[in-house]
Amino acid sequence: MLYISTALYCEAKPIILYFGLKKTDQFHKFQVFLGDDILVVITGVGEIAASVAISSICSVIPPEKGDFFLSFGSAGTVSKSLTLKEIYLLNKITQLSTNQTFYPDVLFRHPFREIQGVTGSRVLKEEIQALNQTQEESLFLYDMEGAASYISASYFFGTHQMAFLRILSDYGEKKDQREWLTPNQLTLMIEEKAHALFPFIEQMKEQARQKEQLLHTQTSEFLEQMEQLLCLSTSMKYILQQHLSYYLLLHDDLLDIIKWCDTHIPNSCKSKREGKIYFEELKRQLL
Amino acid sequence: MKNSNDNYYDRAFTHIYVEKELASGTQAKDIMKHFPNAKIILIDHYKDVFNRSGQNFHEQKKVRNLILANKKGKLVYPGAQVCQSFGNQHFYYTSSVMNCIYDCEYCYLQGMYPSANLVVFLNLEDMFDEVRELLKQHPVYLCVSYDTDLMALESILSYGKRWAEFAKENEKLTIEIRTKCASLKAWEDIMPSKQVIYAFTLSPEEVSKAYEKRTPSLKQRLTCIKTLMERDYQVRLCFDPMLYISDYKKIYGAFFDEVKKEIALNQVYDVSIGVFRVSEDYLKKMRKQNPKSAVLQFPYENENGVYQYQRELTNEMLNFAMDALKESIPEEKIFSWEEEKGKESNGKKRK
Repeated sequence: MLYISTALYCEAKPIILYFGLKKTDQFHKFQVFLGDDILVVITGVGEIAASVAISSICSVIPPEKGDFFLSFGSAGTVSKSLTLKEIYLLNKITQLSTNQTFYPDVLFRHPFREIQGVTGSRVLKEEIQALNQTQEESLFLYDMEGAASYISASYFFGTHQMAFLRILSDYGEKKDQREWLTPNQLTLMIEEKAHALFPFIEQMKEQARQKEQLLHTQTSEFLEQMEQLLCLSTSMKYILQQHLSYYLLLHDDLLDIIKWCDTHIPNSCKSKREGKIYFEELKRQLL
Repeated sequence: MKNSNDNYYDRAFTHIYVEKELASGTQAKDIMKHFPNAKIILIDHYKDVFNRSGQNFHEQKKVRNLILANKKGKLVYPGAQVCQSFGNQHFYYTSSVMNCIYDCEYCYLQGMYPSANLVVFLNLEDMFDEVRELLKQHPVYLCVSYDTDLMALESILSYGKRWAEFAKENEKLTIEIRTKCASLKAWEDIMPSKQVIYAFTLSPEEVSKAYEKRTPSLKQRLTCIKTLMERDYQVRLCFDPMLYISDYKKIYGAFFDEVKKEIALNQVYDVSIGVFRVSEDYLKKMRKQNPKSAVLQFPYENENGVYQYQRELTNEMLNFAMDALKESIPEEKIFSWEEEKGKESNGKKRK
């Protein structure tokens, strides 16, 4: 499953529509949309809101080993050399309040320009002074959720399973709220970048679909059967499990071993000692 | 995680993380020149990237990145228990680079490091200083390419050359550079020296193909070794780790025959033999990260915290190797970790 978080509904709307996601009423505090191997949560604005929403979602619907997390949203900048309406991938995220920096792995191909992100708790205009004092690098995007999203998501995802995309929406110069982008304008801005954004989401979704299941049902059943039949201790069971894991990497299934057991192992062992003799023999067969 | 779409992963070295204080230095710039399209990310300390929690070595290995840093604290360490001392009393190792460009499935680095990214320490001079201090006390046998493959990185770093030149200035120093590199170009600027031993790890082609991704073929390695020996470089052959595979006697038998045919074994510096072994903690991590590896999932036995093949099998494999080699090289030149462990590092060899 691909988990996507955005702060605002208008940021998620194009994704929800494109992937045909349906709102679920499982959650009351945030809006959550579900579809085929994809989940979108609207966290609300700010670090605490992002943290709470991501943690809650991942606790109720725990990510599996191969799942991915994408944090998407709008961001501002003080650097005029960066292009408005462009989508950027964050390869470094600094939390302004703590000056801690986080580095998501960028192992995947992507079409976006990469940049550093800085996360603060107030709107960009109000943080400009602090940014000038603390940020050595002049090129960065400013948002209000990135660092917190990284911290929260890292409890559930590996560094290689997270990506942070931001669309540059403004230069932080607007004097008051009336001049800010409307939700519709932001949605349209994102829709204009659909050609880059949606294939990337598809790619992450596809990647998250690849799952591993090493110990399949047949193995678990066989293991339990042998545990009873051969009176195995916990450590012996663990050893046998390791032998089975190895065997299955070299063979398609356990059919030959099951056949061998049918002819070489009795239906019950009289003692632990007898069980151990057959256990040793079975181990040899599995090598 | 297996990926059906090969386009998912990017190329290697697309990102270079550089400690801020080094970014404007000549050394860092020279290295970065080799990767003109890489994104440069400034960092405070290499551990901020290298030691992050939640990294997956196996995934990162597919797209390794580079970290340029200065190493602080202790720089030279006494040799580890699972490593061969080759009879050297004052056995040390140092890591001027952490991690390797090759991708060997059995490699202990997967369990040792939290990240597969390559860390290059630029303050080689500080390591030289620490070795100089040791040399004031006694001769030093120093392995400089345990946790990496310096020769494979020679075209970018020239660390092999710098270590060889340092050895030349210090006659009581012997250096071992372990490698699987087969590019003669890497040795182009390095003069042969009695004090520098190039230890080549060799495996049958079947093993190499299956478990040593991105490494040169056996044939390429043998050709390289042969040429280096002709040019008077000191060569050690490491048949280590031997892996237990089906038909291992047939495969390793043919392999030893090929090596003997190509290389005059009586002219190599020495030979080491050993079977796969790894510490308990490392194997646990390695298995978790790569559950589909038959080499790692083999049901090894835990002997004093070291996972290895069952004793009978270990002995059988080592004896097999010994029998195959002893006609071509004096036995006292064949070193086996199995014999060395548990004893003091006093130069005793496998009989």
